[in-house]
Amino acid sequence: MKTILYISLLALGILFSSCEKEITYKGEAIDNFLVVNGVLSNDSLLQLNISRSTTIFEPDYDHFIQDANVSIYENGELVETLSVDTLYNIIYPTKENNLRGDRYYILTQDDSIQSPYELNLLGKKPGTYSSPTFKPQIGKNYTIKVEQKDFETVSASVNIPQKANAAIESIENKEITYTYTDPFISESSVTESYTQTNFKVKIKDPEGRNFYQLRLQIPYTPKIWDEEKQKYFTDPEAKEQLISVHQIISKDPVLNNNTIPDENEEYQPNPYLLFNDELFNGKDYTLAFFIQNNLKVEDFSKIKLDLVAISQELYLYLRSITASNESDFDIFSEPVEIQCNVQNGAGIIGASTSNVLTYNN
Amino acid sequence: MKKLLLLVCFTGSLQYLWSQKSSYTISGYVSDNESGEKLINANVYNPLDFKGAVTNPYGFYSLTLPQGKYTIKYSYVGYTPQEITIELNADKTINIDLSTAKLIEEVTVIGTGVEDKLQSTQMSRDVINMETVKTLPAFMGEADVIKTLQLLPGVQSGTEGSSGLYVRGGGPDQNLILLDGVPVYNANHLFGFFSVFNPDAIKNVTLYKGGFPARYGGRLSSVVDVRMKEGNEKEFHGGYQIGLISSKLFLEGPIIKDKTAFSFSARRTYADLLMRPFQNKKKGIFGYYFYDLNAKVNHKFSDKSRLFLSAYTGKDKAYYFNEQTYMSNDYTEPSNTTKSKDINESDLYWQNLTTSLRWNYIFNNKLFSNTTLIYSNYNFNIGEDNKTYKDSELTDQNSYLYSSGINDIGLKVDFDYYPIQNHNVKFGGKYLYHTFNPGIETSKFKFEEEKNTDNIEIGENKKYAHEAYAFIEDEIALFSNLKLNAGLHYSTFNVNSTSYSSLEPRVSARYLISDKLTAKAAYSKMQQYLHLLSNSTIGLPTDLWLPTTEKVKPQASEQYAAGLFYSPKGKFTISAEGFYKTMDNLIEYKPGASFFSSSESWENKIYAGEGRSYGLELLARKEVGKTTGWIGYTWSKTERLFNRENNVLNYGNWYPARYDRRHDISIVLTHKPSDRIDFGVTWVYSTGNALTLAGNRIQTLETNSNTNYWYSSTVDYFEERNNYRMPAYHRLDFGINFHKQKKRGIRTWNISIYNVYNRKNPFFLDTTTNKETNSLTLKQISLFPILPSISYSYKF
Repeated sequence: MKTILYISLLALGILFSSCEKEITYKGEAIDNFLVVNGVLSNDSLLQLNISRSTTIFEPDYDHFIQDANVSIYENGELVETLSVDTLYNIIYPTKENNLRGDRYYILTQDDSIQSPYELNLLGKKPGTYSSPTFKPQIGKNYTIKVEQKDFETVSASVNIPQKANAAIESIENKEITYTYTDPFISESSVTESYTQTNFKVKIKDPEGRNFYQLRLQIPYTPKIWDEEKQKYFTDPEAKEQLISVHQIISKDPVLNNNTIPDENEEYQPNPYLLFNDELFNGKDYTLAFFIQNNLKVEDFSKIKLDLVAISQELYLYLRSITASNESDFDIFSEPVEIQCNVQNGAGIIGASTSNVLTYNN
Repeated sequence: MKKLLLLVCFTGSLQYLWSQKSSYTISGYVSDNESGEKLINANVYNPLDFKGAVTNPYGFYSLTLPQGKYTIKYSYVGYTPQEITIELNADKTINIDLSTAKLIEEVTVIGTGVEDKLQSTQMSRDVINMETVKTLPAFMGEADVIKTLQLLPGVQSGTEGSSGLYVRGGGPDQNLILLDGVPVYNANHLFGFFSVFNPDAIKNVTLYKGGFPARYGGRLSSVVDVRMKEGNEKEFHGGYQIGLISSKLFLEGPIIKDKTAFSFSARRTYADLLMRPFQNKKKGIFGYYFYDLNAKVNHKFSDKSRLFLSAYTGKDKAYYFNEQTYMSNDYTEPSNTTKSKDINESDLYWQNLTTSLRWNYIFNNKLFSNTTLIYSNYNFNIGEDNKTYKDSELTDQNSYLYSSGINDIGLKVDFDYYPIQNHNVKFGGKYLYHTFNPGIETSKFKFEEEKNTDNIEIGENKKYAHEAYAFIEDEIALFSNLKLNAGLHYSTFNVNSTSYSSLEPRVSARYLISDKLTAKAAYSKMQQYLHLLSNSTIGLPTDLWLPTTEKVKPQASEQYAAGLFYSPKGKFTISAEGFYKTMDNLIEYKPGASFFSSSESWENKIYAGEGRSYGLELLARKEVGKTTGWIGYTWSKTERLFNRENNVLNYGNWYPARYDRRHDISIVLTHKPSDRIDFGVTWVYSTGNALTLAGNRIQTLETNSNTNYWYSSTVDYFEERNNYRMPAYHRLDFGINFHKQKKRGIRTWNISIYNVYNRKNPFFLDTTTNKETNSLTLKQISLFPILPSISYSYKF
């Protein structure tokens, strides 16, 4: 359908001999500002990342802030100050240094230039500020204040939510067998099957609006494809690890942005597995969902199901990040407001309290 | 409000008692003397005290006066007025034929426009006659009714060249566009560059921007009442026009003289036909066309009874066709060769069909009735069909069709009742049965190895709804200089066992400060049960008409307007109108949503919010004489607020609507120095449209789990929706007509120049990455440079 539309629009353009020209931006000045991102969790040491925004009229590179002063206030009292974990020497591609790409590089102490991927900085990129000892506490209010000489001081406040009261009611595997005909392969029908793992989780929801995130990890041992036998086999040297599940399937409106999913409806993207209690406020509620996978989980006790209570700010932020990313490739999509809570800047200071649920077969 | 109603009843009762003494009624039709066409809004009045009546949309009037001797004046803009003196001692029927004014009579011609603006209680109304439309410069030579309306204060166009109407801060869905009383759901041709109304078929267009009379309802922002020509009852006439992109034909005449008449007009573009010889068939053929057909027949059974049948149909179609023939080998038996043919057909089309069967009946000289059967259909389709034939046998097929639309069947009955002097009561009702098709995708697959074709249908089921309303309004002359139009409009809507209703009071008042100066004020409450789901990025006919549902409430508005109308010398008027409008339950796509993916329920793709709009409209207009035209200026502000739970846009703050424009100026001038030549000039200026420009990109929160791998580590960030203004829009157009009397008719050459000084106006803005600096630059895409056009027409 899109192809036809594009053809029509193109034809329309030709018909009316449209013309393009570069124009000068004539609006209010677009300034850079600080961007602070972090989630305060009762079971984790505090860690933030600080960067600055990139305006549309400057090269699109990541700009991390490595000289900010970060103050942490607990219920209004200063409890800790942070400075950057590691000071990196960041350089950007220019004609002179012959670097390419649209991201930054790091000049190491031995004068070699390496990409962050080569340095394996994915987990701890530049601009990371962390506390070696400080863990936020449930029920308390925290304010993060970030000062840097070139930018307006920014701050954000958040309350650490109470732990969600929940338990796994059941986990069970179900074999789904289906038959289909692929005329490109064979005229006869092919029967295949996969495992569907069904979950039931009971939540005792307290009064007031509450926001939740499911973090689901299942055990997985890497497998290798055997060309000769045309099948996967388990690598005897590989170790079992937990992998995250990005998609759960459910007809429950609670897990579908509080809307009733249509029989034919497309899968609604919810990769952060977010939901709230709008439809069961203050009541006991059982969530039912399943995952489809080729990795049959035999030992349910190895499944890590964390029902995380999250702050409203984090919920709205992640929803908006999802909408923004999902609409990136559709030129007809509406603009997406990123729901930040950092005053005078952007980013999110969220809060979460995890509750890892266990289940024994 | 109660006190006001009591006052109205009390005054009415007194007047009734007084008038029962010895009052008589003059009634009849006012027509064009050459064609017999009925004249709408012609004035019938006593020139001494300006008391009188106005003809209704069917040319009928009724005037009750005390017994006595009167001089009654009949006037209509562009026509020579007629005065008759009567001794009124019994009810009389007087049908008047007015003749068009010659230029020499300019001094004596005083148009109804001036009188009507001063005398009528109606404000925020503009009447456009077709002569004005045809004299103004035309885009690509196509005179356009809607584009002429866009030149009036308070009315804005959408993007460059579009026929969308944005009236006093409302959206394009909030206009009730009626063609002979039948709603038209998509009034656009060629993605909105032309409207569907062929001026040859149209008699009169009336636009209401506020102060809505109770007889109208169902939309928030405007009523565009388009009336088709009835057909010449006396002589056969016709004409044709050959233009750069289209040709037209118009015919009218009597079937039975003075009893039955018809009018017919047709228009078709032919760019597709002209392009075809230059296209490479091997690469496929692309084409685009639209056409219109208007037809109307009316029959007079008697002076009291007349029947009208009118129909309009129009279609736009863009298509692509490719056929490839080749010889193919069977891979199992290479020696077997078959003649194969692949056919690819893609098209995008939308079409309207409206029909009305109307019966006018005069019960007596005080009661006029109009009964209309209504049918309206609009549908939009995108399709693709790929077929493979082997030795003429269909072996493979995959096709796709997206279809949406709306279908209405209904009945409307309304009455004009003139019970006593100084009262004109209108009452009636309407019922519509809507069928909504909210977007269905149908796919068909057939593979060589299979005998059957698989059909897959995705989308929502049709929705059926009932809409009905009843109304009553009375135009009351309370005192010599105070006149009031008070009415009530009650509407109801039912869909899937969910019902809504609304009682909407409408009041407008006129106070004559002097014989040259009038003050007016109006209040109207409106409710709209239909929503148009349109995307804000580009205007396409994919916009979906959808019903109010249990979840999506009806749109509602309240509008207050006040104004002063001044006519210093009787030939022109100067007016100033202010308005304040609030709107509720407006819908917008939620962030990131798109009209694609019809498989997602439309109700899940939208947010509901509110809006407000206010402004000042100034208009200086001259309607009679060799030189006519107007200068209009509008200052306005239009904002939206979406801050309900889970329905938050722009962080819950007010933001400018996309078509919020602070300033709009239009200068319209036509001059007719002689019968052989006339020309028109228009100049428009408006503040640029608002758009959302994300000024920054920001780093996103890094999470160790639950993130889709394709998600970017940065996202676009903006602090306010519609935070940037496109450059201002301005344009000068010029058009000239050369007429010459020929043996059997008049030929006219029209030369029009669109965008005389070649202004590159913004159509939309985009950002592009400069590969050298890896930064973005703003790019403006403009559509129309200077566009001269020429057309030839002949009328007999």
